[in-house]
Amino acid sequence: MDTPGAAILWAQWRTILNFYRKPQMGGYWVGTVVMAVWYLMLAGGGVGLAVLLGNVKPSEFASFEFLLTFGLLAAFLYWQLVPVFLASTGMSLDTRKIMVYPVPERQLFLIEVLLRLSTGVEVLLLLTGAFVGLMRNSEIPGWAPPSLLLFVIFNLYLSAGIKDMVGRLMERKGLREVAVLVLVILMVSPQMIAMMGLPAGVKSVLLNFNQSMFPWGAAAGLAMGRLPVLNLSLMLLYTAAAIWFGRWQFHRSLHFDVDAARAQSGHGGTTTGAGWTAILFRWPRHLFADPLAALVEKEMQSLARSSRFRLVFFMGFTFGLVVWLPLTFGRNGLSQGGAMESNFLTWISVYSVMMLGEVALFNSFGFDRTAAQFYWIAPVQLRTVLLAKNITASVYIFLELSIITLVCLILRLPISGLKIAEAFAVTTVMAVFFTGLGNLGTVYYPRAANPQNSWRARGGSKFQMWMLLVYPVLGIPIGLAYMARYAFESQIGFYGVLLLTFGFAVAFYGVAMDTAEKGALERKEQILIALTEGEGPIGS
Amino acid sequence: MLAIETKNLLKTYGTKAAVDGLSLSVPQGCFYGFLGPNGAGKTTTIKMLMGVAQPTSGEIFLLGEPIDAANPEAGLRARRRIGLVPDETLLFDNLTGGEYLEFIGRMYGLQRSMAAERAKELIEFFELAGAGRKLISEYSKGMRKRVAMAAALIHRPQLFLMDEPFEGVDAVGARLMKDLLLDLVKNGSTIFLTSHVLEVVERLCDRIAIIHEGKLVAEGTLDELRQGSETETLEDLFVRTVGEQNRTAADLSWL
Repeated sequence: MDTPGAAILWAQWRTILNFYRKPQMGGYWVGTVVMAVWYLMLAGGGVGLAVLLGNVKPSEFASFEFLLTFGLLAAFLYWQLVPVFLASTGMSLDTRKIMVYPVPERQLFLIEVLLRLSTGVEVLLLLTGAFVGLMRNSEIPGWAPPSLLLFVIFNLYLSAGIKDMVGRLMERKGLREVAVLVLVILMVSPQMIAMMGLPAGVKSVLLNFNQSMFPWGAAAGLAMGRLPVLNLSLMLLYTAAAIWFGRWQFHRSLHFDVDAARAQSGHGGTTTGAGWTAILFRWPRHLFADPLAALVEKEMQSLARSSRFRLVFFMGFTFGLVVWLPLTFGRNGLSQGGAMESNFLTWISVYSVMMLGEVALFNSFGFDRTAAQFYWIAPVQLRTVLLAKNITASVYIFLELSIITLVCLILRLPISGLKIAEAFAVTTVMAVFFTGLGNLGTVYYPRAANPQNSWRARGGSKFQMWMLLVYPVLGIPIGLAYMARYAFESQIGFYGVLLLTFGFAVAFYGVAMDTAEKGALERKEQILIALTEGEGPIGS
Repeated sequence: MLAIETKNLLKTYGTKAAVDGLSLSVPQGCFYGFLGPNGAGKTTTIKMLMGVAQPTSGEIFLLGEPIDAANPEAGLRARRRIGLVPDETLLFDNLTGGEYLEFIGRMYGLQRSMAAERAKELIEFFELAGAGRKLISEYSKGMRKRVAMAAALIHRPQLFLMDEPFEGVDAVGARLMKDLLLDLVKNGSTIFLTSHVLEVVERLCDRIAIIHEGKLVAEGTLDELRQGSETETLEDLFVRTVGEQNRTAADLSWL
């Protein structure tokens, strides 16, 4: 008997095959190769772990269990928090399309849980290495290492529950920002505790706290063959709790009415255009002539009303700020004068540009979806359309930077005027590069996006691929500016090279704009097809 | 037993009621037209019937089974006997027409070989064979509707829920679909459809319901709704029911 679950997986497999068979999608193979290299590197790490753990002697067990505990804690944090950090769900069932069919909820839940593997592939590769190493070690009982599977199951179910819970929270306008703040606090709490310093008594309690009571501690102890009854009981308890939590959240999400939630949280009110905020978007008409002014006004309004954009904009000056804060200022937030601290503002600015770039630059037709064909029909040059989108993105980038700077000043962080100028200068150069690249991405790599989905389902891995490919390359010319400052010990050297880089960025932007405009005319059909496309039963 | 029964169905978005106290009784073997102006609540109603949206309050019974989150097994039993022609955004664009039909067949529990065989026959019946290995994303609007209609048939359901099934379909395709639907009703199936093509509804439907601002404002056979005026068309009746608007181009002096 064919189950609906098998049918869903088959349909997704066909969807992926069909996607790669499209002649115009050849460029995607480049991304696939880059991803293969990334995962091969991690597989290498797994092999390293296998060798290391395979040769651990009984006298070293205690210290290796300690290391394994923190390794599993890192794995837990990576699996549960990195998707939140990138505002991405990874692969996930498109329940909107599936739930009209007679598929039992438990089958859908099982598929959803298995799809959580997609957010932890890196962890799985390393865990597999650890598992092989422990199995190879003759001093460890054979039954122990397979217990790592319980840790994987625990993470899968917990991750499914967290994804559903966060996904629903993000659909409620009022709660979304609060949820992000709570997540920020949750994320940085361990860092804060580790880096900011604590009163000696509290620190002692925390350091001596028995980690074996936590899932990562219990899993590590069990995998090393220590206290099997206690550790197994703990792991079974945690896993049962995670299964219950995952099922409960999945059930709630399955019956969650997005439209009703949005309406309840006042989404409908944002579309009137008659409020005082609408006046804020009228500035372009005083600076530019139509159609550019009209296009910039439209872009400003569309992005500001998009849940996804608002989320990443908010994350720029919350996640960005709080994550780097403890890393930079260390104990009690006092200045320590390190390299991290001197580039603190620049780091956050670059993170925020990365987050905004994914929404506003690299796929700027994506949010227009079917309406994008208007740009090819209306009597307006595509160069003007792209320029309007770039102006809008730049305005938001500099607004974000200004907010970050303001927050830093309010928090009385040791940031001088010179550092603020440096952050703005570096970000300007990066933004020019990004807009040029973004225009190429928009034309040669278009994909449909839903601006009302706060949480990204598709493109997570591709975004990481972009980061992997593009950012190091872009970092080279800016890195040269920093090298000049280091070599000549001179701000003039730094700004001189940065100015040259800026000139190069502007030239690159010009060439990219010409290429993108030409490409947009030649690839009209492919772009419009890509923008109107849906997906398979699983959003990836 | 009724094919569809709703009792005091209410669906609110914030403070706005999209569907407001809707009570419908659709007998089995009936061709039922569900009409209303844009934004009247038709799509919200059909979404609730399909199980995509949850009612704020009220009850839904399909083929005698309650559609209720608290009773998922009954919902599953009902859904196995229902064919859907949904909003076209629910299609899977990166599958070919044949693959999509096979997938839907398997979702309804058909053996893979049977699903593939029926998919092939339906592709030919709906004259989609020419599309060959084309993906649904490359289909025209009319072809998308045809493939959605074919998907609704693959598991031989008893009740059909159809949201604008004729939208964008050419005359040949529409004729093919209309004849097929009439045959299905003759054989005892029930069809519940929304459409803005009033001529089609007038010709096909046994009973008609008109919804306006979320409320049921008229329901009955065409003769009952005409209230004795035999020359009145469905279009006249519809405009009379939901409010006539005497606007002309002259109202836009610049035009």
